Amino acid sequence: MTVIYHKAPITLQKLREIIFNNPSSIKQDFGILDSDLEIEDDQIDILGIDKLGAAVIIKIDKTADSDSFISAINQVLWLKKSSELINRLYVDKRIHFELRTQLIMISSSFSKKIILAAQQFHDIDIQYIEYTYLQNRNQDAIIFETIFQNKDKSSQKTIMEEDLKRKIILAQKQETSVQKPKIVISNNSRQPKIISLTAEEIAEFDNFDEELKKSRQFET
Amino acid sequence: MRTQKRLGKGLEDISSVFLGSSKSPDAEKPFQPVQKDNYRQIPSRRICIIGIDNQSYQDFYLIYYLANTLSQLGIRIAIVDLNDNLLMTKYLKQSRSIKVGSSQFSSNIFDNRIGVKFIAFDRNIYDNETNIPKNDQLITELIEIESKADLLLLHTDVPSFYTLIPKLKQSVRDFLITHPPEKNKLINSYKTIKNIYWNIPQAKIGMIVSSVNYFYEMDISYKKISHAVRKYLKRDIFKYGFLFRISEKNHSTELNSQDMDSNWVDCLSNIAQNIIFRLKSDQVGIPQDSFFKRMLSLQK
Repeated sequence: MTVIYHKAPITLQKLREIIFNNPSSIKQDFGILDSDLEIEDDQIDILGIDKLGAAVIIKIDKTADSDSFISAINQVLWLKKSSELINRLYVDKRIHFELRTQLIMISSSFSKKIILAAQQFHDIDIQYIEYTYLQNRNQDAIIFETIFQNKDKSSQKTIMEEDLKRKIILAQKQETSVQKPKIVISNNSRQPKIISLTAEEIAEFDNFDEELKKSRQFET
Repeated sequence: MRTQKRLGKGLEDISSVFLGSSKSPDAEKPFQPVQKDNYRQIPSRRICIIGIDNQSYQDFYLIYYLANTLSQLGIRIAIVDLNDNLLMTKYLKQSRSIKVGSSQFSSNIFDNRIGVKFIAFDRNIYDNETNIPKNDQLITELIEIESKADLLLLHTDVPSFYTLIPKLKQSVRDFLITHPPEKNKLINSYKTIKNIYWNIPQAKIGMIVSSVNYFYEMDISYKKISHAVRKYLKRDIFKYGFLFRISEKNHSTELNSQDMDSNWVDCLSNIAQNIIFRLKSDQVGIPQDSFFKRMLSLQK
């Protein structure tokens, strides 16, 4: 049966949640070290490390333009400059700064200017991933599509349609039945993000009472 | 004579410490107060205990006895009440075993007869943005306590935890979640775990199932949570143990472990052993920053 979806808007928060919960949909063998890492006048959305130990910066935007590109490049430069600090902060997983830093920008659209600009950077692996969010009455889905990467010297220009790397994440539409905890925000702290559960996650606990009952009968 | 039990694989029973048996060598060893200038060179460890069953006295019992036991084993402990309404402090203060007023700041810092420090972290006093001026002496005392302590045992309920995330993010890596074997509490527990990992990817989370009536309740609860955490968050959680439900007749404000049910004591002993094991085995990833400096926004 063909499932019909319609293109729909998505909030940045939800997009980040999807990415955070499915890091392998963006990059294989990739571990998240930190999120919302505050740096000089900016913030790294996700800082990660790949299987070889190279640093991975993920920047998430609704639309990627020159400003977001400059901000992303600044983040990479800051990371290189702060290598000692970073390795002291994340002693569990040591980043090998001698390896090329990878910059992944995720957005719903990329301007031509920043695709051209990215082609001029040869010491940073830059990858642009375009997302498309889809919805129908019962489900939602997101498609991640790599539209540019400069990793291979042979592919210095935008990759062709047939080579596109497509990844689709299907998820049940979020229905939060858990009561949200009371949030008391102190004046000087940043508002914490409370990540809610998906209907699928809540459903994991559905048969808990039955399992308890069965075990009770077995015990008696 | 009570038989010694082994609840954890390969771990010795130290429940005699909880029972205060005179035969226990550890219990006989008097607590050695730390010399005034004996400051630690390495940062103290911090374990944040999050009670899903909001403000349950069972959690207060757990923390109180855990701190006492670890203290008698030579670990220098400070308990920090991070709950918005400081209910744990109010509860513990009812006990005669706690010396109120040993500190210059008697309403916020106090200790018990074996030297466990209790800190009521009243955010109305410490918050930067409030109009109440910061008390420098109080801050100095907090930082001094931290510098001498081996372990800070923090306690918070879920609503307070969510407000504290930005500060805990920089200063705490070890979390322990306590919840009873009830479906909604399990979901809430899973949600808390998800939020910890979202904000603190390096976190290490352990689980204690409290208010257990039958052993299988703990087993099913742990399996459910760990399965969901593995499936959706691709992470593991550590099993620290469980606590039998404290019957109403044993629930007194005297905090006298002599009257406690021996099964409960065994459970607590097991949890203490797991904590010691974790503290000894996992030395990497400890935040170097001062916890109180972070909490007081003195360190950015």
